[in-house]
Amino acid sequence: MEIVVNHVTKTIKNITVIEDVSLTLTSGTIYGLRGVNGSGKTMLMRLIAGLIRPTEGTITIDGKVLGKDISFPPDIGMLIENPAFIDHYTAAQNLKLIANIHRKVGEERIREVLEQVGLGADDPRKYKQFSLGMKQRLGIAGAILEYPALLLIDEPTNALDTDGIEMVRDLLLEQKQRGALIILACHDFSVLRELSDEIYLVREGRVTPYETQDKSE
Amino acid sequence: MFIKFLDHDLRYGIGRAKKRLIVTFIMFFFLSIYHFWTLRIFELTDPQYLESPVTTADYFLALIGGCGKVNLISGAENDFVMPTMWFVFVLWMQFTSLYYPFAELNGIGKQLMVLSGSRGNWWLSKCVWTIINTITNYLIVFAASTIAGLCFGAKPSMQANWYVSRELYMKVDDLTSSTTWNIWSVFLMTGFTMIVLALVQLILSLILKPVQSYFVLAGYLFAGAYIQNPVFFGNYAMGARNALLVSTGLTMPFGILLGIWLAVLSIGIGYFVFQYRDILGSDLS
Repeated sequence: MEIVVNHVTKTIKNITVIEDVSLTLTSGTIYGLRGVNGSGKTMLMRLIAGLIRPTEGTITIDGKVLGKDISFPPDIGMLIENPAFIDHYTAAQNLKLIANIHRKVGEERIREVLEQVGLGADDPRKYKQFSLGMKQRLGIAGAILEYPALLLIDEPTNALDTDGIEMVRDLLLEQKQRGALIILACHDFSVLRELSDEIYLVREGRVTPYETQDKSE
Repeated sequence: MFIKFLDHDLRYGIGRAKKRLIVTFIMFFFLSIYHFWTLRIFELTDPQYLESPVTTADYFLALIGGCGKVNLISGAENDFVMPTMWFVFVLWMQFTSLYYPFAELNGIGKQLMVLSGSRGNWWLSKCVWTIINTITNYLIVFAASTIAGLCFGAKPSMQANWYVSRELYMKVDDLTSSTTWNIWSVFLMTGFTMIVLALVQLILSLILKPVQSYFVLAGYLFAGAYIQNPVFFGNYAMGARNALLVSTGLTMPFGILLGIWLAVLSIGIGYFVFQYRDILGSDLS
């Protein structure tokens, strides 16, 4: 998979949230996004996910223009902002709902991925009874469930304990090894630096390669 | 993919919303009792009103009847009486389909839509869900009023009696019948109007926000209660504005054509807007 972000600008209510961003992203790589709150990291992810449209410029996925040739990137997994699931479903029921869209994976994979993120496949508790950390784990499970070619992961370590952060590291490296293109935004710079092949600094909607002199950011 | 979305919407948006359906039933069951008290007052004050047996249609018409045409002639006495019962009915009906599409879009729906690769299927599924949800709630209102009527001794019939006209503030000289009306077509027209208004609300709620769209619609319905005109489509949901009951009422064939046009327009505009505009996560957070 190759994603080309070509001079993309996004303006919302007369505020430029993404300004003239150009990037080329390829499979088997983890791209880290570093920036303060409101810098434009999540907005860039929303643009690549097809949730919002660029005001100027284009985003192409394997040569197909997002919003013109395709509505959303094919073969995508995402955790953008907070995980959103059905309150009165269990973890397994929620994942089954996601799996039902493509029917690429079955019960066995659902069990496997729930075990991987540290949730019990037979846990009878409903989503609304989950702690924040459990919700985050389920969000990660939902994102990687179908072995997506593109993974958009926004703040995966939110609400996780040290074991959880370790789990995120292992899972993302595993996804990278199987060839996924991963875009990762994370406030924990040690995690970002350890996992990312390339890091970009997002500041006031502009995206530049992260250099060592930017360490003060 | 559309079928999968619809299946999800029916399970999650109606099947899992049993509490709301039960509230609808209880609310309209008790509101129907109000008509029973009105009948008792008729019995005490004007016994001639009750020469014909009370029917379940009387109970239902008391809910959805609204009020007759308001006299808007300059200098004439303003005879507008707020059709409170009708307002409760239409506003509740619209409320039942207000939040689900918006909440689903901001919840798991966003993920399902991205995975499906199609915005259009999501939108069409929500339109069909809105239609089915409105029909379901409308039938529950009808059942609640009918059961309330039966509990208080009404005869099971769709033949409404002319005395209901007094309750609906219909002008006596405008009535199309001096005895009874079969209100099947009024029943169907009111249901159809509710569906059209729910579809209009659906597109408004995605462009604005649910609460804002609800207030816009409430204002539109209020204007319609005051001014009898096809432009205010809510008029077609009022029995007392229907040409079947009053000679100055609105005719149903034109209402049906207008309703189909409004429904198709709402679905079409929504489809277009949803394809090309930022509806998903365009807030600045």
